[in-house]
Amino acid sequence: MKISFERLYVISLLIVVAFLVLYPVGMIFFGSIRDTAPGLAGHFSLDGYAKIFRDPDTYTLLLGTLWLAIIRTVLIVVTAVFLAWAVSRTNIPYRGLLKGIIIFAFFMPYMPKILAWIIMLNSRTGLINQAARTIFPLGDEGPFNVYSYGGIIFTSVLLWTPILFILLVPVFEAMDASLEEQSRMSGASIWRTIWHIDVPLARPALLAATALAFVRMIESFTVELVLGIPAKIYVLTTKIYNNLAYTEPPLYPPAMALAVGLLVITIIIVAIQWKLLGQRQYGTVTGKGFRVAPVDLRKFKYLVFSGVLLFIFLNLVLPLGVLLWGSFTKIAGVFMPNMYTLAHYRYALSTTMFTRSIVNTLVIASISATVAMVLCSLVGYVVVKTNFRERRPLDLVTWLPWAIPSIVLALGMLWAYILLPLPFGLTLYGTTGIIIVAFVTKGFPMGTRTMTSTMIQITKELEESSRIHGASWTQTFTRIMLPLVSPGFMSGWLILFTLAAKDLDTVILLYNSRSIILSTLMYEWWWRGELEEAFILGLIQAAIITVAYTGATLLGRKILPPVT
Amino acid sequence: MPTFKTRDEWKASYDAHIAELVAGSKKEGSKLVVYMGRELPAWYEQVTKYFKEKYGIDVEFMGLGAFEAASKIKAEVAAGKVTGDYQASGSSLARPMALDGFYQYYLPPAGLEPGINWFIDPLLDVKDPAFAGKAFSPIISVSMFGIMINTKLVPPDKEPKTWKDLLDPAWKGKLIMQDPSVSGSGNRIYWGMSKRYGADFLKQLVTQNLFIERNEANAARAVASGGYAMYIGSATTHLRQVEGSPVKVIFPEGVVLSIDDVGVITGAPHLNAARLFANFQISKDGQEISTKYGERTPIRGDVKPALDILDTAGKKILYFQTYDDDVNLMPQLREQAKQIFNIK
Repeated sequence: MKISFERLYVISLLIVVAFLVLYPVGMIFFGSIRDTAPGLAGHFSLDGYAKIFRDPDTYTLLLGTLWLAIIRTVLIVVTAVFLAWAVSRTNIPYRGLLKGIIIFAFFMPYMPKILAWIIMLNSRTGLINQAARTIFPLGDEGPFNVYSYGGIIFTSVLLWTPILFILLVPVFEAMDASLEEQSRMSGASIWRTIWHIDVPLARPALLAATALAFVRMIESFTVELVLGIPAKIYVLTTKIYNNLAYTEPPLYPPAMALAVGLLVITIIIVAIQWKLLGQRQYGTVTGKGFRVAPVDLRKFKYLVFSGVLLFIFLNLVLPLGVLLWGSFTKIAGVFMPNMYTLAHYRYALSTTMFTRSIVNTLVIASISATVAMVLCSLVGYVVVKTNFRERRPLDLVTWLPWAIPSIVLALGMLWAYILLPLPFGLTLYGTTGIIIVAFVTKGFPMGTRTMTSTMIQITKELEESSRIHGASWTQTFTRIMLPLVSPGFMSGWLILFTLAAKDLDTVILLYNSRSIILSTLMYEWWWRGELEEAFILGLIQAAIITVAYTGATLLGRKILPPVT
Repeated sequence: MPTFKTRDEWKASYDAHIAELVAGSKKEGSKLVVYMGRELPAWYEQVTKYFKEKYGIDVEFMGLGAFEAASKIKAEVAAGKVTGDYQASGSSLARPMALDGFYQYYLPPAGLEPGINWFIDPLLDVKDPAFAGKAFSPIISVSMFGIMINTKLVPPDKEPKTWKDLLDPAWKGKLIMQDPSVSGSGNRIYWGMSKRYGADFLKQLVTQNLFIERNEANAARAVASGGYAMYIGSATTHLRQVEGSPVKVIFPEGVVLSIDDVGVITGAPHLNAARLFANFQISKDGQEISTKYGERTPIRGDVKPALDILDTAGKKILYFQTYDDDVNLMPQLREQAKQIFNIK
């Protein structure tokens, strides 16, 4: 049987992606049916599954996890849609600047942001609470408490809205304004136009974004760990972590069985998303020209503008301000005489790890983002623009790294690559290469979603036209698709660069002193109580990402063709 | 175990051994990777400088948490791809690691020095039958746990004189403690209180609406900022992290002690440097740097504690964890703590 070049390419791609994802995921599954960690002597056993099914806590935690994920997903999607619509379809002032700032908000590392909110919203000593109590007679506590369901939801919405915004903005920007104009000319109100024109046009991207947010919220871990556990709020991921990190000896089988359960939930969500999207075509970027003129909000203009500003203030200005302020204080959040100092900066700058972690972060994040985006572009094209039967498994495989709690994925990767037999005495484990592999793998869900969201809007007529005029499949991909998806590629590259530059959990078990990056150094300093130094690293991370973002944006404007 | 009749005899043997290790470490690239989580910044600086100047060895520290470090070491040892050389941690982690073969047997001759009045014998475990024919983890220091109080919120006349004073309704909602079901200060103090007053006392303590925090440094900050009046189980090293704030550590009834252990990892790529480091930590130089820059209580009688608060003299020792506590009873203790404190 003759296999075409295209099919060979798709199968090769599937093998590469499947290896990167399924090998570590397989190790997690392997861990769930063994009574010890992979690599250690032990026996096959289903006790892990039996234990979680028998444990009534599992069902309580599952319900709690789903409830919390649904609430947060709804709020995140609504907020992201509002922001994306406001900056791309309306006439509010400084739209371009606001868009850039919201994207920048996503680039801020999570951990320092959470710590900053603790300093602000701790029920007793939080700066905002103290300020509120000086105005209103509220007693010794409150009115806000970051260690609560409200605190978890609020922080999660702030942390995760920008990433959905990044996914949705290109979709809103690519909509043909003439459709909205026709709606308005037919007498529809602004809100009716949004509901009947904008939302249906963005439906595929919205569904993808909702699914992504939901999966992310089920897998969410750091916020729940830091804010949930002190309030005795537990979810499945913190249960998994407790089984691993806070039980001696670690209970690998039930922890891994729970992680497999989370994988199953993700597969169901992806299947539902496929079912909802069906086989319909959602192309909005066509071979014809279209208008992108904004909608005049008239009297609502400044109301919407204020809403966007409020989000930016809460998401960026306040936490960044607290980090900056805290880094100059002896003890962040503690008021005392002579409280300001440069000692934390002097110490941070004097360590060799400081410089090394910055260089490593830049090199590792750049390489991994580039490699991942090349793979994700190829995957996105196969998934959206071809009918190969391998496209569904390929799509599903790219979701998996997001379905697993990071710490579990980290264990899977540790076991996978430490046991990976390579010829000629080569080794991947213990090198910087392993960190790059980890980030490429972790980048698949976001990278692929960015590219599929972009590609799904490009109608087949462009490619068909190219093929009719004699171009090969490869020429069509490189000369028609690539230029059209370049903004999406750049946006995806930035997202993956950022994720790599601030990711901690994925590489916490893989790095060593030679491959240390900013996030792992920040963790080390935070863990040993040097919070202010950790703040400084958080600020430097933000600065690096800002430079990368600005550079990529300027470069993008120069070299990338507009989407028309 | 070798014995030495005189100090000179020991010194000659010790110096020869150290010279061998230094020569060996040069062949290994004069490098050492140490897993060590929670020392003070000044200690890292001094030790790095000392080792570079004295032996030409570059020491690199990795500050992973106990679980992360142990997972990494176990997987690396099982696969034969070890990247780290040496680990320092609490004995509840180190003792099982040694018994399970993740540390290799090494008897640091620094612990055999004659004429030293050891507060705690660094080679205590090697003499325990449970470790016969197995690796063990030498002891390098002890930590003392008490209660950190905010002096603005707890006037001298209200300072707890016994642990039971914590049950005073005045302290309801004003106490913070590190999670007793995980390794760390909460676990140590929990066991100390449990041994002294039993589980009923702990159940009563829970009714005081204790705030449970996983990160010890955060607990100290919460007291320093006035959010809570007392941090039950604070170590003396926490004082440095909140220096300048109105806090102090008190020891009602006495102190709960925790042992700090070390181990040379099985298959360590820089074996000689790791052994050198084990000797250094027990040696007079190492103990002096430990107490002066790390604010740890020394185990050698010939090294004075750098601060009064680090001195065990005149303090009643309430609890001191044994091999049996760390290896056999720890799982039960953690489960009990989870139930009493309703931790899932």
